[in-house]
Amino acid sequence: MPPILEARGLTKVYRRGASEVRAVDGIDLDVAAGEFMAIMGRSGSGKTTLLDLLGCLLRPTDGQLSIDGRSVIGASDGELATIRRERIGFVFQEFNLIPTLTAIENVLLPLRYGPRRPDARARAAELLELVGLAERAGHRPTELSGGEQQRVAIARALVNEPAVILADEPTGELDSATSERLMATLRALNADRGVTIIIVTHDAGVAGVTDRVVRLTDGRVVADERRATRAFARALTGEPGTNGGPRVWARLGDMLEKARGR
Amino acid sequence: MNEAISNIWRRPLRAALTILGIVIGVFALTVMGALAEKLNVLVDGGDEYFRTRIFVFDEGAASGFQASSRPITRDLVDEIATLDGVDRATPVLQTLLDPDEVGGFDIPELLTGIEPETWYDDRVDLRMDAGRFLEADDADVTVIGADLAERYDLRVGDSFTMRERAFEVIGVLERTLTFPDKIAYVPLRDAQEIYVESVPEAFQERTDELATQIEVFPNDLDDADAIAASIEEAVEGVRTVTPEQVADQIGQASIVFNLIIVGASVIAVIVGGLSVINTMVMTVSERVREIGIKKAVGAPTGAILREFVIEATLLGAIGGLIGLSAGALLVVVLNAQTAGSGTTVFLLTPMLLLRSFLFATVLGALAGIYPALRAARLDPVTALRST
Repeated sequence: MPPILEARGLTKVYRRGASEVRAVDGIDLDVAAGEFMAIMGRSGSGKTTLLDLLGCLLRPTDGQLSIDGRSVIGASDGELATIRRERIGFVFQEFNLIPTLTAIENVLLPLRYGPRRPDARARAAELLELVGLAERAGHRPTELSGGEQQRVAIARALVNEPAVILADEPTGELDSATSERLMATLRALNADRGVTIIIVTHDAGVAGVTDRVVRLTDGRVVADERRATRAFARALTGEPGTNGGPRVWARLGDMLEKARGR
Repeated sequence: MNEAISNIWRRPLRAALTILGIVIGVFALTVMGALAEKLNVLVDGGDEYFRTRIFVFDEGAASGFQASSRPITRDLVDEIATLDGVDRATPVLQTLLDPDEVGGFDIPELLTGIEPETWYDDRVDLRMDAGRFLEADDADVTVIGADLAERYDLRVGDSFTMRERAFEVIGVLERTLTFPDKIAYVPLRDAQEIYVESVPEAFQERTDELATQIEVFPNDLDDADAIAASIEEAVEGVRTVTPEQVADQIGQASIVFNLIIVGASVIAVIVGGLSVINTMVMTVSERVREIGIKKAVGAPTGAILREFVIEATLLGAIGGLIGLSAGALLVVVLNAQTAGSGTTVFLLTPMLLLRSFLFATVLGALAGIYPALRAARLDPVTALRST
């Protein structure tokens, strides 16, 4: 089964006057269906630019990118809009709901731009129920808490049954209790419904919920760890998230990972 | 559409001011348009009424169709009637119905003496609303236009005193919306007897020869220019006005009236159009983030463009409806106030109302295109990350 996202040498260069900034610098990345992963890095590491590239909001300066096995390089603006609408679901730090629309209308927004679906409203209602907001369908964003708004945003991201959900610091504006509940929701979506989710975050707690963490520095992948590996590392060293410990155990983790068929 | 309405409501004061801009423009357009509409009907009707014949005046007479010209005498009529191409020539005596009433904006009320047997036939396009037209040997009777009937509350059989002389109304004309509405047609002989008192004594002995103009009906209207030339050549001291010249004069008047509409439209375009453009540019810059969101979830460029054009069109349409309602109201009120004196200054037609409304709607749409294009062309990432 081909990866849902496949990036090869993906590069984005910004020119600022005479100097150029390689925000994303030759990244190779495969994301399989059903993965729940985090992209971590300091601010300026290129993680948001990478997310914009994967979400077809930006065109790469160089490199290849395929979604569902189809290259998106060279697609027109209109084709990119269609890919975003049909294959990608976005969740943003600032929730980004339309203030004049009710919760259910916000969930329906992506459907407005595609072909008419007779079940649209029923589906939006079902998704609001899934994120626990069935009773808030008629409320406008200003009448909802931050956590509720982000749940609406998640329902909106799901409405077109996308191949992947891209979330940019989804808990960045939420307190820790709300944050945890939101991550539990995402975790459940991934576990129960097999939704592929990529989260950009600098919060280790958020990343800890995911199965895979890709770390970026200066636009390059410096680490790509999977849950089992990290669990082993933690178990053997007693230190969460460190790269220390005997190398042999790390290699054993890799072997186990492969054995699991990932 | 629903979203466009609620988006307009997000900034009620600004929306109201924008709509007011369009209201002013469309209001001006409707009122000016109703004025020009009325004038155009007068002019077009005049065109039809006068373009059937050549007018012959004494050379010294004032121009146009004014009734103040020096009298010209009867013997000219016979001379002109014998010229080639002339079907018939008939003397007409035209004077003001009330010399003290100075004509203002509208056509003056006229007393027109004619010889029914030589003047009236189907080429003179006058239809009777009631009664009959003048006939040979009628005396002390009159056929009046619709405006006169209304203003003086006259019906067939009533007595109507003009220039201190009583006439019996024997016919009322159908409304023409132009000159004949304000004309009282009387037998030439009666007109001469009235007129004689206002002319120099030298003419008073020849009462039966008095006329202010000779109206010449050509066999073929296309020959009018040639016939007019031959009249001026054959007869000393006369001046002719051909249907062509009448048309030219009327055409010039039409141009002026249509310029009024164009002027009002230009004002409407400037005031209304700029206010819509200004508002929509502000709206777009306020909603950059929302545009980014919509683009991120897959709205194509055309959909964003459409949303903003619809909103601008709606502003135009609302302003148009209010503006034309206010304009129509003013026109109706003013017309009602002047109706008593037999003159209405405005004419409101369904076409004019429809044009005003469409004008405002199209104006809104056009003014919305530039701001909408700015919105639609925004880069999604820049728009999304803007604050």
